[in-house]
Amino acid sequence: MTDFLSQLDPVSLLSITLITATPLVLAAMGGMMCERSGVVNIALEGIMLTGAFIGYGVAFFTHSVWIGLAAAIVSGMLIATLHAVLSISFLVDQIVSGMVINILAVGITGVFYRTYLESATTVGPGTFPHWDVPVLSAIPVIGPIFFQNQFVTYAMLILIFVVHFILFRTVWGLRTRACGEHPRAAETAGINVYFVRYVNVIASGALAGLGGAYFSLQQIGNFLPNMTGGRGYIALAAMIFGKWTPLGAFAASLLFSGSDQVGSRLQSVFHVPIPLQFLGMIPYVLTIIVVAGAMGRAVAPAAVGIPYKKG
Amino acid sequence: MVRGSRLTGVIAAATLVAAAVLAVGCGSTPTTGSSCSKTWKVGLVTDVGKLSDKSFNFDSYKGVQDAQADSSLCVQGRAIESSVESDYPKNIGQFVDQKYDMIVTVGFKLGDATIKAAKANPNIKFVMVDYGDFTDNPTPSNLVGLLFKEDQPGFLAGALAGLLTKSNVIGAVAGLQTVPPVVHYVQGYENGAKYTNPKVKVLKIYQPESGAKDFNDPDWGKQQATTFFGQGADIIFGVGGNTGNGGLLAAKEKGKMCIGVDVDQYVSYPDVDSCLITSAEKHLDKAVKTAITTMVQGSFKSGLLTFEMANDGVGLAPYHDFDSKISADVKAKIADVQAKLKAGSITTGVTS
Repeated sequence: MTDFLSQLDPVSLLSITLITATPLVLAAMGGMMCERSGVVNIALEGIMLTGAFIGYGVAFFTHSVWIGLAAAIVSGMLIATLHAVLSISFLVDQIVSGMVINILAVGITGVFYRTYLESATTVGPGTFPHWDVPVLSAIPVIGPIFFQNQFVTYAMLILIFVVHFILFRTVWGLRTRACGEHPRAAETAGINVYFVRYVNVIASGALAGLGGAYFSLQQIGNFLPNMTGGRGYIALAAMIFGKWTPLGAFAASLLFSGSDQVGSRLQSVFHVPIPLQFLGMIPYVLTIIVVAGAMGRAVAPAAVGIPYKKG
Repeated sequence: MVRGSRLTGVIAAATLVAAAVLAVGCGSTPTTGSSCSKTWKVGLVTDVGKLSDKSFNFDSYKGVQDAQADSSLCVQGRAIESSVESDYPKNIGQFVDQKYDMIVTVGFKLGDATIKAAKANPNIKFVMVDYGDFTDNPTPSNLVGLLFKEDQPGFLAGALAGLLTKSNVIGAVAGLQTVPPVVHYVQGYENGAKYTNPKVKVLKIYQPESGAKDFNDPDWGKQQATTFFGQGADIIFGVGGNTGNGGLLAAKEKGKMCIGVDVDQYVSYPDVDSCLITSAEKHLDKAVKTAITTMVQGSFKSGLLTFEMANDGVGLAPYHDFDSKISADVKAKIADVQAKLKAGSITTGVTS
């Protein structure tokens, strides 16, 4: 039993799970702010990729991961603004606009990476430092999991509560949800639907841009073409599974990334004689089971995806 | 502002798509040699690990670039990167359409597509890096496979790890199990470690197949190495492009030791210099350049070119920063193992 426990090593398992859930949670919360105001944002993948690229590029040339971080967030907001202009002002189908941004992001970041960064074999800008929170990091179990992390993971943990508070405890949150449920009624009540939607879409860009910094500036200290590898889409699944709430999205993200880690451990540590192709399937099978109904009904905001026309 | 502007939006979106497609379309531009009566055009197709892997694809392309830099060869090289497996035939086809003289395909997974293209285009020479499975004999006369005995440098790296580990637990973070060279490295590493240290425990993990992230998921590699540290490992062998590089990075951040693969990663991946005790090398650049040279000099022969310890086609990279930290005794033992592998008096125990 003690042998099993030391092999399972639950503290490190949970710690890695929390770290790898970081970009999922951030992107899911971005998608949530967007959709709560009535705009679908499948561009999260492209926004994260752009954030990862711009963050790395700026950090590379300024030799500061912090300037890189700011650039990642700003670039996320800019791309999100593009999505907002297309889908809110120009009434373009929101899925089409999001898809355009995703395709664009893969192409643009890949080309600029190959042109300017790939051949640079000098040492990269490094990664965010590990910060141990004084006192708290010394607590057994809790400390190593929650209080010995890097910037983006801490930011994610704090933002869960911030986003929850904004959406459900402030006037702004109420207006946001009104625009997502019944924009016409919101307009009648004197809410500027366009403004609310714009702000929420741009805020989602900031969250996803921060999520992008996780890939290049927190984990690897480098950029690789298409390095987000579809996590923006998994984040959307986490958002739906979490029923458009920050805490729900957090739990869903932990489930997705945790099942991934368990699958790996079955192969490497426990030597389970199952072909690793099957172990690799675990997160996806779990996603299907969960989304197919094990979780009960998920009800999207009523007006999500419908372009709003004034008057 | 809003009404009637839907068309504008559609046009804007279409423009963006066009820009994206164009952006994907442009690759690197070739440079041409001068004063050559004939320029030999050599095209290289990467696997999904891409040129940015700083090891496998990177070094194979270096062989092409070296040939291009050698003015006596009159070679003009170009590379196309594959993003997904379905790109392989398409990318090979691009070079075929442009009437290239030689097409180099990098990686075991391009094997089938390469054989097919070689049969369809008998006038073009084909070189497959890492492929030697010519079960459908006879081999097309325009096709050569470059084969490396990866188990030998893997064995040597393992022997070193077995001597240097303090916890008697070492790890390997590997790419796909379906790619034989990866398995050869890992099995050689395991056997080599047990050869010098019978007590050693070797933890290993292969990346599950996932398409675009095969050999290209450093975050995953990093997580696996971190898991191994929790199990007491103090040395990580990263075998598998960017995936393996993630394992090296984890070792560097946690102050453990690491071993690179394919090329001297001290040079190709300086971020991890401080943890790198050595790299298990196969001299891809040399092998690719050798194949190109045979074409230019008219001595091209189909079949297999094998690179091993005996012909210096594989080996161990320098110790670099660890040169002063590794005892003379350990170095002597490694030199002894290397000599025995070269002479064939010991085998790696890796057969497949």
